[in-house]
Amino acid sequence: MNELRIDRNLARWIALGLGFVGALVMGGALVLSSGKFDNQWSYIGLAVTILGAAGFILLDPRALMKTATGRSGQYALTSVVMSICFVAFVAVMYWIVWKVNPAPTDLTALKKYQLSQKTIDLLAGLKEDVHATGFFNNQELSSQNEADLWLRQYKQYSNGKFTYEFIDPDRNPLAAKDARSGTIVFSKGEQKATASVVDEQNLTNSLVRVLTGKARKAYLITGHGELSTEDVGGQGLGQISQVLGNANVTLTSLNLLEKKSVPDDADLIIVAGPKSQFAPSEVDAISAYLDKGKAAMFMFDPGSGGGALSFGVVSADINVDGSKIVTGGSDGTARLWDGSGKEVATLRGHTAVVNDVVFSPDGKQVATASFDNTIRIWNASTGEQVTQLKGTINNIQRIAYSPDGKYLASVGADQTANVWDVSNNYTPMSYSPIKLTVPLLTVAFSPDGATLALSGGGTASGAQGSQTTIFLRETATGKELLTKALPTNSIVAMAFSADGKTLTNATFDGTLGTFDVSTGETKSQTLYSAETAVSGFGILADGKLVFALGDGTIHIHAPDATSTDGDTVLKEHTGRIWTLRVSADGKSFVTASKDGTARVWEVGQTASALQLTGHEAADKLMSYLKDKWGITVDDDVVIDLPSAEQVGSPVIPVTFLPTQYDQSSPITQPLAQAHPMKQVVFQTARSISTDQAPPTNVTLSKLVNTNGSQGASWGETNPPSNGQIQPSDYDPATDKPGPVALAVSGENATTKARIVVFGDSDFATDTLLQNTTSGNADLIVNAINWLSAKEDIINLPTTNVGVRTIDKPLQGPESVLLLVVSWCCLPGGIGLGGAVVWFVRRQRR
Amino acid sequence: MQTIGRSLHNLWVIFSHEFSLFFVSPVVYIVGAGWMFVGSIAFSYFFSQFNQGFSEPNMTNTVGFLSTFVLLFTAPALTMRLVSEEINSGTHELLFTAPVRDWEVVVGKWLAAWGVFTVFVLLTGLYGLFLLWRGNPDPGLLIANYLGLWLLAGAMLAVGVFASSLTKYQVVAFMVGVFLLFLLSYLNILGFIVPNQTLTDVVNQLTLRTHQDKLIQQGVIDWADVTYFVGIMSIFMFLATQILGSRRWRS
Repeated sequence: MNELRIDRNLARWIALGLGFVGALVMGGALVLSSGKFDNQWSYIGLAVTILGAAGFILLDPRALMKTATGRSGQYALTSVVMSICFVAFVAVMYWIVWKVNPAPTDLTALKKYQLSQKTIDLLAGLKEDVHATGFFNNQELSSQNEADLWLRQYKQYSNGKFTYEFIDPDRNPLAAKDARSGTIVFSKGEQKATASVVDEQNLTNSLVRVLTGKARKAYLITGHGELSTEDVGGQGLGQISQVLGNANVTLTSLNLLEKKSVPDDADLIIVAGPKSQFAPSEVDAISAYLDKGKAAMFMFDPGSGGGALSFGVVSADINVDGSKIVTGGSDGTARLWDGSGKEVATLRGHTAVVNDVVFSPDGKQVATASFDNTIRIWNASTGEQVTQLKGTINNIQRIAYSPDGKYLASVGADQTANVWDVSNNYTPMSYSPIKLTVPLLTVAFSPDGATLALSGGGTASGAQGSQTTIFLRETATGKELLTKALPTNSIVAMAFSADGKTLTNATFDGTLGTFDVSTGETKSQTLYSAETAVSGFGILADGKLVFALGDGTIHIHAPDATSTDGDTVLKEHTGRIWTLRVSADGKSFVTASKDGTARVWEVGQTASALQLTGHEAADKLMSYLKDKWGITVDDDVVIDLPSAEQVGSPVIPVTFLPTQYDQSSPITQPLAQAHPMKQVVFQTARSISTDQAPPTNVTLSKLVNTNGSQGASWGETNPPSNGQIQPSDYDPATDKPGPVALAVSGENATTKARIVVFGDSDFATDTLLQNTTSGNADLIVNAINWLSAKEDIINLPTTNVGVRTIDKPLQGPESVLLLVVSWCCLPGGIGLGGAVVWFVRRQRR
Repeated sequence: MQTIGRSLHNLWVIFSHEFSLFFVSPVVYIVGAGWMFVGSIAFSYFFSQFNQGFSEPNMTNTVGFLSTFVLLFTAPALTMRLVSEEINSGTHELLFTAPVRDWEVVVGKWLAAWGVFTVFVLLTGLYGLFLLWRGNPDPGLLIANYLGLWLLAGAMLAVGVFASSLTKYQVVAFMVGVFLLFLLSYLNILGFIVPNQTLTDVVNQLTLRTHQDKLIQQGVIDWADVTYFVGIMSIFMFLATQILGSRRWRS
């Protein structure tokens, strides 16, 4: 006993001495690190100090007791001090275990968290320091735990070369400034690579990418109204360059019309939502580039609602004597033709659909308006651009010169009109722009040019409305002459009478209206129905009225006829007519159609005088994808009714089931297997079809598909103009039955080229990328990783084969039985047991 | 060696006495029936999800529900009587003269409560067997689920015993126990309120439930978590011993 006491006493003092040494180490470390408590020596010092002090007190509590005075006080003091020491002791023990971080024990049957040999070899061979930072917020602790289980083992096998930490982006926004929550960023010096899905496959490949170090180069194709990286925070791609930056990809713009070919250093080109067609030379450049075994990502938006890849010829005008014709196409060009139908010049410059074209009254200049939000003036003889106009130019619908040639006016669906002074070098009039109260679709000048009429209706997105307003302004001053609201459908076209006293107008749903310019008195007459969708209207020299209808027919209508039975019907166009314009003398008119042609008609003739074909009706890029890859980008809008139940709109497909992903593709497999499954949200999208028998050596896979089967999702080829899609709109004859693919990847085994085609570009815009719960960013990063770093990718064996399910599900009555047994019998049995025990004990008493 | 043997003997005597005492009082049956009832509601809800193929069958969600909510009440309900009753009836004076040490009394009582709870956990094991019968859950994950529940229960019961040692009133002991458990379980909310990385890290480490996540969600034993649970048990056992011992010199 005595011996033991001595030993204990000795141990106490050794402990105190250790504690003292620990304090010295900690003090020294603090001095060396200029007071920052952030290095391991200060931690170790603190630990040894606490352990030493605790040992000193705990080894002989009575010695301490002696120092306190009063019996109770002694006990209390001892008790408190001992408790503090004990808690500190336990805390330090825990901290040591936590810091040492022993290998976890995996209880799962398939050892899900066991590193594969490939990863272990990679880690053992690490020569440079690699650091990983996991960004997880408080709601993502489960993912963080999972990441911790993996990264801990990475660290363990790396001989100290690999370190990692976790940062909560909500708590520490500064440190997480360009990282998305839920991702792990690997860094080696300046090199970075991001894993957005926590599993071994993704983590190891991010490690490989950061080790190979070479920043990959992606080119963003421009010149067709594509999305831009400069547009941050809404409908642009500002966020994507950040996402790519974290994946070690740099993004540069590339205009193929200027550069002629894709630079050799390109690993990837991205075509993000073009709004006009590609020139043949551009498609040749892309084809040559891909044949070198490179990669490309395409995103195409549906043709409806502004974007256009198959709109054909959109606009046309004819000069006073019919010797010159101009057309504007969805290929982004305007073309000049002579009276014999020969193309004289191609006006290149616009980057989107050329929505309207007009000759100046003297025929010397041409004005063109485009969805690229520019209006340009060209020399009508040479085809050279003269100037580009300044003003509030958004969603321009129509432009018009005044008959005296002094003014040019534009109207837009943004409810704004502009008027320019032509003689004064196209400077805007002092009152321009004019802000009005309805989306403007049409503009007309009175014959003397003194009065400007503006009208339209409906919504900014182009859907028709059931009320409209006609505005009359004095051209010289902008003074308001008359404003008249009308309870009719949108006015799509109007024309002044020769005396300028009445304004005749046509509505979208086929009503002909006459409007007294001085009194505002209106008369209207219904000629056609809403289904006919009137798109153009004019007054011919013989006083007859000409209408262009949605089915591609032209109706010549006698002004005094009350029915349309006597109409002369000209049927040559096979697609919707976008523009109908009558020449200044009223003796001829020109029409532009979706069928890819423009036609010139003489009054009194029943066949067209000229057919103008030259605009690229079908996009060469599309035919390239079809011929070389077997991929068709369908001209439709994807409708997904199950998604509508979740997000409220059938045209926003959202993935809800893992089976909607291709679970064998490295692009979508991680999304399907994430817990919870990562959802991808597409804004209005078009479907992508794959050939049954793709070209030789090409392998295609449908990455993302719509929910539901036939009738629940489909590719709608003829969406109603008001945008209100009903389940009954599905037409098996013309629509593409679901499930339809929204994204397709393709690989050519011979050339090693890879492409991914998306039926949407909005899914990559900032609004959807910033939503951290969606998998949109993951989809893009995975696609880019697959496209551009194929030689680096390590394919790990998938261990978690076999899906765990209830293979004998409960049916009807069995479920009820489960409820009865578990809710009543089990608790009831326990309660009964209690009652029996209570009763027996009562009996015994 | 002899002292250790004696301590073990004392622990066994106290444990078996207290364990059998549990089953003659109605409390354990009421708590047990409640535990099974709420557990069954949770299980049948989650089972309907498995049944329709919405998620993989396992006990993760049921155990998570029991741990985040039900345990907070059942643990103090089981332990409230343990020390309070001795103090109230004055029998703790006898303990002081008996040849047992304070810590043996406290730990023995706590082990008895944990033993009762082991029975509870085994009863919920019926759900696991049911899953194995109707489907193919990962048996390793099932074991991890129950291990997580069992470890957390042990730590929570230690807190309950500590609460019971504070007062002679069982109701007060219950309320203090529930309060302490809520505090320890939801401590990490502090990290939501104050935006500071270090504070977030520290409170996450201190919070009871976060140490259960890897076990019940991933099916992996992180030995730091086990150390944490053992640490919590020993701290509250130590504190309860100190409180009980203080009655010796306070009176």
